[in-house]
Amino acid sequence: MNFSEAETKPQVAASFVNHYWEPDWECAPLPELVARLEARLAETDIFVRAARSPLYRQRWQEAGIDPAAIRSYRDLQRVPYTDAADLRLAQERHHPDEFVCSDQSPRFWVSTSGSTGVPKWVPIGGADLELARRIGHRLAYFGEKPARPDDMALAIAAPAPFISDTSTWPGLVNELRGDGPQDIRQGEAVICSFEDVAEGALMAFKRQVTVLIAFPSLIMRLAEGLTENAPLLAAQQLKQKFTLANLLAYLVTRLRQIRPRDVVKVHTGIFAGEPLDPYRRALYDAWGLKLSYNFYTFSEYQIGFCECRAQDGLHVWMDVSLPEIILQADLEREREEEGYVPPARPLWEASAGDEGELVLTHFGDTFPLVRWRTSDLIRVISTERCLCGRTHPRVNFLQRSDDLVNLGVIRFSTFTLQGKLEAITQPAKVARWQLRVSRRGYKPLLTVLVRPASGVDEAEMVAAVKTALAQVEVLRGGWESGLVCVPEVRIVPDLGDRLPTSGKFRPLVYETEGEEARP
Amino acid sequence: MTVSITPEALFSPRADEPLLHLPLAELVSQTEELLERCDLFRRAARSSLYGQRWRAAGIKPELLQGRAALRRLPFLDGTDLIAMAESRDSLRKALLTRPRIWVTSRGTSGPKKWLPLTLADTAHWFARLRRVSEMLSVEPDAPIPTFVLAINEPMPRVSNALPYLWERADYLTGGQRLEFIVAAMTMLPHNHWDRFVVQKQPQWLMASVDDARRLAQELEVKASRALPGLRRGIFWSQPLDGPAGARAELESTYGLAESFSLYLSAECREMYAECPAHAGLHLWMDGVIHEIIPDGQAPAGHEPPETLFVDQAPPGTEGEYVITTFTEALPLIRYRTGDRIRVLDTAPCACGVTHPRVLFTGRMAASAA
Ligand SMILES: [Zn+2]
Ligand SMILES: [Zn+2]
Repeated sequence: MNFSEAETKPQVAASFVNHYWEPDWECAPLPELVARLEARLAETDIFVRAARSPLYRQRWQEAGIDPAAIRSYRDLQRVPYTDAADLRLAQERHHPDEFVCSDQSPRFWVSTSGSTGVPKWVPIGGADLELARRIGHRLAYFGEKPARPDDMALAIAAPAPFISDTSTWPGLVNELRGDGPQDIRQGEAVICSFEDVAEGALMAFKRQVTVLIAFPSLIMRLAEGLTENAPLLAAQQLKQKFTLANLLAYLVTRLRQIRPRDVVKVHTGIFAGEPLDPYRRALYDAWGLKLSYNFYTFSEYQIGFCECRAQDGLHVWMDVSLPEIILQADLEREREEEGYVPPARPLWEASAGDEGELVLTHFGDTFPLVRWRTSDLIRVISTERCLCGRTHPRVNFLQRSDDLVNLGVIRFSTFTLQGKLEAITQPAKVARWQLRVSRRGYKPLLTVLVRPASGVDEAEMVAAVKTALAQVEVLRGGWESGLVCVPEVRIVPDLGDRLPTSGKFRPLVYETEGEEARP
Repeated sequence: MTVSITPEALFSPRADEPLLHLPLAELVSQTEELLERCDLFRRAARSSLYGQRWRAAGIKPELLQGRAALRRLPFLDGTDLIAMAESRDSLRKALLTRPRIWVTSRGTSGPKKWLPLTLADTAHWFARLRRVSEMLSVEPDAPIPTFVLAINEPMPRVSNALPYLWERADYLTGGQRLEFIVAAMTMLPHNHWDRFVVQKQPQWLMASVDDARRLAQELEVKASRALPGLRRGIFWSQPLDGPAGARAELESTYGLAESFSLYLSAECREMYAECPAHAGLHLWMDGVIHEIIPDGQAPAGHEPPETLFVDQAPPGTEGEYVITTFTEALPLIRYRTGDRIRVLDTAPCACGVTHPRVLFTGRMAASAA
């Protein structure tokens, strides 16, 4: 075989029902998966290696943890949690190389977004890349429709040193190795970063894009941009080929707005980086999407969770990680009670409807996560076997549980804003404030509630707060580029938290997403 | 059919080593065979970039034979590629087969050129990069792992691929000697990756000349003090030698012991590098045909300029570099790159490689101005 022949080999047609990459793992009964997890815990050296890392070493010692003695899930439950703040702190004090837990040197270092201003750095080794790749192949069989050679994908990726920049070329080289599903042939792709998104999208349109892989908010922004430029686009078509039909189309678009769905036929969207649900309806309307899948991963973890064709939650892999959940009520208590350590329950024993923070332990070779608090709130959909046949528990991702103000692509720390608000002196100091995140249509809307320290002219106070908001560069960029709404500021004389039991102040509240999310 | 590389050849260390040392005449005759086998002219004639234009010039592609026949064909240049990408229709008519992925030129001036690659084209590109990485892997006393700072540009720009293909080449066939941080200059103000780089102390720097200069400006202290561990630089997009060459400047800015010039372009699907003998960049003779339009010919608008095959050009010849590629998705036939070259020598190099050596000395327009 050579690669030219590979390009022309016939597509395996016929049904795509219940195909798996590793059925023995993907569809094993849940109790069997748990048993295999226990067996793995009994023999892994991951905790001994992890204990070398300054991320865990000291805190484990203080908690009296002997890493060699962690041999079961019961043992693991005694190990303290670790989170992004721990990592930031450790990385301030220790050389990056100390975080490498493998005997092999890393292949890449990637950075996380640094929403709080201090990026975290994560080493990724060869074995980690191979594992993420193997699990990634499973996703090829997840959708209702497999990828086809005549698909044309537009994918939007973040620039290096973000992890998403690492996917394109190593992926193609792996394919050259003959790796991956042989019965699925990928189509064409235009992959671009935020920077080139306008040009990239235009190219994808010319190539008749059928698949979108991106942040949902970016894709909706693209649709809005297209709407703004619609007459231009039609004019271009007219120039390209002058026919009566094109002339009519041109005249019509001058009267009514054009939607992407009138120009291209996109059938599938794969969306990551933010919850998909608020955007789903709008995406379907604007793009004529038939299928959309939510995808989740993060730099420290690298393995992807995805919605399957049942579209009833994302499958959380039990064979490459050990997922737990800290229930919402315990999170509340943690916020209120100094020193309270909330318990985590195994995800496989959770009930449908449970909500809380996802905690992951995985068997990463270079940078193992041990009871890592993801700060992502999940809702458990089910631990029953899915319609697709897979047995790994299903969850939906809701929001963040930490101080991160998550407006989709636009994220920043409440502490960043706190600094700006506290710097206000005229017309009055800010006595109390709260951020509320909601949506206008599908678009994230930040509302800042402010109680001034003394009675002032409201308009002046609002102006002062708006100036402070504009100093949060990423936020300003967000509204200037139309990714989020222009924030609203409200002066409220009495700023209670609306949380009945809590005497404690909550700086950030996500308002429920439901009916209001409809466009 | 097009040039094909088997997976075995692609992933065996130094698999194409024998090709590097073949006598030049033999490399030329291999090219002739390749032209025949790939049926390049008839294949290319199916593309709107060539068919009509050739017919208008009274050329019958079925009668074209051997690389000498190239000389009768009209040139192609960047404006043709930009026009090709203008519409859905023009793209469809130009492409010979559905590509797998698109890359663009840097497009620092004017619109970007979009170039299609199939999986086979990617294989060819990877093979080239592997050859270059093997050529540069000889470094006495290099620490293992050698830490590499590679500054790329975001997708779809062509330099995005370089560090990743290099990493895969090292991982799969190179003995896993390297460790990478890949970073884009556009991210520097957002996540200050320079601070991490200073902590980690790279030994190699891979970057375009512009990005290397910009990084030096951004570092809080002088680059050679901030990054004292740097020993080697691999630079592209601008010449290191010649009147505007950046070699001395970059070597002194970063305190480098050695630097290498690399030629990388979206159009070319190739990668040429200076060898450890530092006697020019080797133009690979297998899988691409190189011509030069020597300086001093009639200006545009008159007769089309005459070219020389680079392997037949006397040392010292200077002019515009013209390539013919066997790219599966869209071969470029007599593409005027707009890059100036100076032929250094067509005799075997001190490093033992027989492929001709040239210097890239800048852009045509720049030197005309
Ligand atoms: Zn399922
Ligand atoms: Zn040489």
